[in-house]
Amino acid sequence: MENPYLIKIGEIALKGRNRAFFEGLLFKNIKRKLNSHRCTITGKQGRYYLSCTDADKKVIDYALSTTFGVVAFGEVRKVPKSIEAIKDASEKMCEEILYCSEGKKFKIEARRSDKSFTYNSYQIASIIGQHLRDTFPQLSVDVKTPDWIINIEIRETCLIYGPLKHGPGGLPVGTAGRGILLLSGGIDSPVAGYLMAKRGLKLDAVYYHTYPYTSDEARDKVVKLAQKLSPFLSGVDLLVIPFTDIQIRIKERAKEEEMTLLMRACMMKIAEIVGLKRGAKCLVTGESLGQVASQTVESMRFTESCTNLPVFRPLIGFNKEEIVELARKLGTFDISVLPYDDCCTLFAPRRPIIKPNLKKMSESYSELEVEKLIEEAAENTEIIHCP
Amino acid sequence: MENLIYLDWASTAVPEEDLIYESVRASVKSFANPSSIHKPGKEAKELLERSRKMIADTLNCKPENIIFTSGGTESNNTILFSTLKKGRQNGIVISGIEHSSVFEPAKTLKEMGIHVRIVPADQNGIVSPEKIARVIDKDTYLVSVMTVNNETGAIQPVKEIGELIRRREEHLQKNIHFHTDAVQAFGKIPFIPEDLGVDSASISAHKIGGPRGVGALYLKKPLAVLYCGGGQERGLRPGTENIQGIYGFTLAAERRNSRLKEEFKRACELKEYILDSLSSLNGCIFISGRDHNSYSPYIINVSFVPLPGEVLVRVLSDRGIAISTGSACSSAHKKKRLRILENMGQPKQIAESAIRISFGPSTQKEEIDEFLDILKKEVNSLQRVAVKL
Repeated sequence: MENPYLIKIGEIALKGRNRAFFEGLLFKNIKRKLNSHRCTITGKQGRYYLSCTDADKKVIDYALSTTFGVVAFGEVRKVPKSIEAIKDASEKMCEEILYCSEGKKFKIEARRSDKSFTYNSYQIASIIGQHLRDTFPQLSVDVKTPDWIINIEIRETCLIYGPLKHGPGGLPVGTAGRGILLLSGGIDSPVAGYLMAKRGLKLDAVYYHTYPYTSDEARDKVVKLAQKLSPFLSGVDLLVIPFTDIQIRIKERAKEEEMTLLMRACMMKIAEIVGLKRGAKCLVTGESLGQVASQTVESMRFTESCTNLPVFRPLIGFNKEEIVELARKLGTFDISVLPYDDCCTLFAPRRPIIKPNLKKMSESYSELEVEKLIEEAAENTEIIHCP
Repeated sequence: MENLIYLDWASTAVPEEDLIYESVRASVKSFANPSSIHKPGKEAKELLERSRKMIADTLNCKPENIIFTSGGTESNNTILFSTLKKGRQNGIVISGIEHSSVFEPAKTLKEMGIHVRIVPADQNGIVSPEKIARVIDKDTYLVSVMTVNNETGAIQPVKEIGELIRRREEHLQKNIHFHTDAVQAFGKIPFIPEDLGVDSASISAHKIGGPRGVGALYLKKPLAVLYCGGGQERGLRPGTENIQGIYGFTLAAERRNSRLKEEFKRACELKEYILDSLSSLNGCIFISGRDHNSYSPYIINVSFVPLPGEVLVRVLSDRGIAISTGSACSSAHKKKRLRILENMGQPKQIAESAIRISFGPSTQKEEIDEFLDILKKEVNSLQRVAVKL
């Protein structure tokens, strides 16, 4: 008898008539990660059962722990509907729990939807609770503040499961439409992408490559970041944009203090062009208010004015340490701190402007006469699929 | 790579192919463990000792002064960490322009409570013997100053430093161990440890066309070190000897030293030629001087301010030319890469712009011409972007 996985969802359950849409994408995203295995998902009312006959447990765990929409999950034991079989299975499960948990206080939660079963919920809980106490004298029952719970459900079959693992929560990727993530090699932008994907946004990422002023190692670093993010994003296309000609034009024509802002403006424009082609309806950046000169209110007002798409900045109110903490959890931090710069010192002004005037900046931008170069860059994008 | 112009000899020399093969053949023939007392063991031992004698001859020292190691890094580490055997009250003195294989162990020793003094070099990359002598006190156990700097080619006044150390020894009535990292000197400029008054020196095979992963430590007198094992190499570097590497090293050392004078003269001419040719380029600043007594003729350090060195290295690499920024050992780490030039008091911009051109015996004049042509073109076009005209 093969064991299914129980999947619990959070806010999807609250969706009214749209629920099927959310569920559909959740199932699709899970199956996508297990596509080389035979699997089915059944169930309703916020409780789903994933059956996957030939996948390794680690593979399933990883798939579920990286899929937004999954709040909790765990392997469920399927046993024959007899109290002896339930006793045996509970005992085994208890051993497993004791192996990795210090807690000694437990509770049995029983539910019986098949009313033909000999014992009712209360009786099942009492019998199994007693049995476990007899078998493991160190345990005690605590129904109010247990360290862990064993669940027993009597349905068409009998299902038993212990503590569930945490999923990432949020909404299934794709339910909020598409967006473009401006991905640099830094610490912030991967975290921003993660946070927006958590709210259901399907993302493609753009990276601006300024070879030979930035290295291929810097580019490879961004590819690694995209690959690291990919499971959470349900796959991502990294669009590598050749940016050298634009960067040179800015260097040639811009005032030194405006170089960074004009570069950001061009990046927004290109992101919009390639994004619209892919059905994106927003841009996502890792900006955090006041972190650097190009992230002041005035600076962002200008860069935002360069695109008609809304710009989402999920880290706007985050401190650097908070971002670092998330990046570490995500596993992107160690990649981000590799010593390959994503901007050459030649193009970094010594004293960048921090309170730009919108009108003046827009004029400076027009003076670049960069539209054709921007179109060419968008045209010559290299696409790297990160499944 | 076809048509590669290789000008990064200071990080690794082009291997002497015939000698590498010869050493492989010899080591396959004398394959046994030199510590074994049977006939094939003795045969291997004979090859090992013959090699030791050959290396000793190139350094004009006794065979027992030679300890084979895995290369410069291990040789330097062995000496630096021998401080720990002397007890915590012993301090060390190093120059600020040492290779990471001296600088990093010194940093670790400092973390372990050893008193470490770092004496900076002047703007020309040369360490003052007086400044070294001044910081030596009754607690000083070790002084380490390299012979030729790997980034600038600056030749350090090792002999003068040695003399001052001996005077301080007399004054303080204690022994001070004087070590030199001679990896960029051996086989390239005349180098006789005894003449320089050093107690130990590190040398490496792959910088002179020998195989990777082998080198030696010249050691005047036995020393207590941290390694323990089967007692090979007089207990200083235990472990079954790398006969193939050692013999290949020996053959390469012999070849280089037999032609040292001619090659030195040729390198001086090539260096002069390159310096003359580049000096008119926009933003050109030489960190390596022209005086061949003070700078190795095999290394040129030049900046084209404000062009970042790494940009130029990438552009030239795409054109089939291999040069480097600073030293290869620290190219990937920006802060470490700038350490030596910044220690010399060079402005950050010059340090960031620095590239290193280094060559060796098989470098041809025609290659240099082609390189100079391409470099000039690329520098001019990149400078048009870098400096707003």
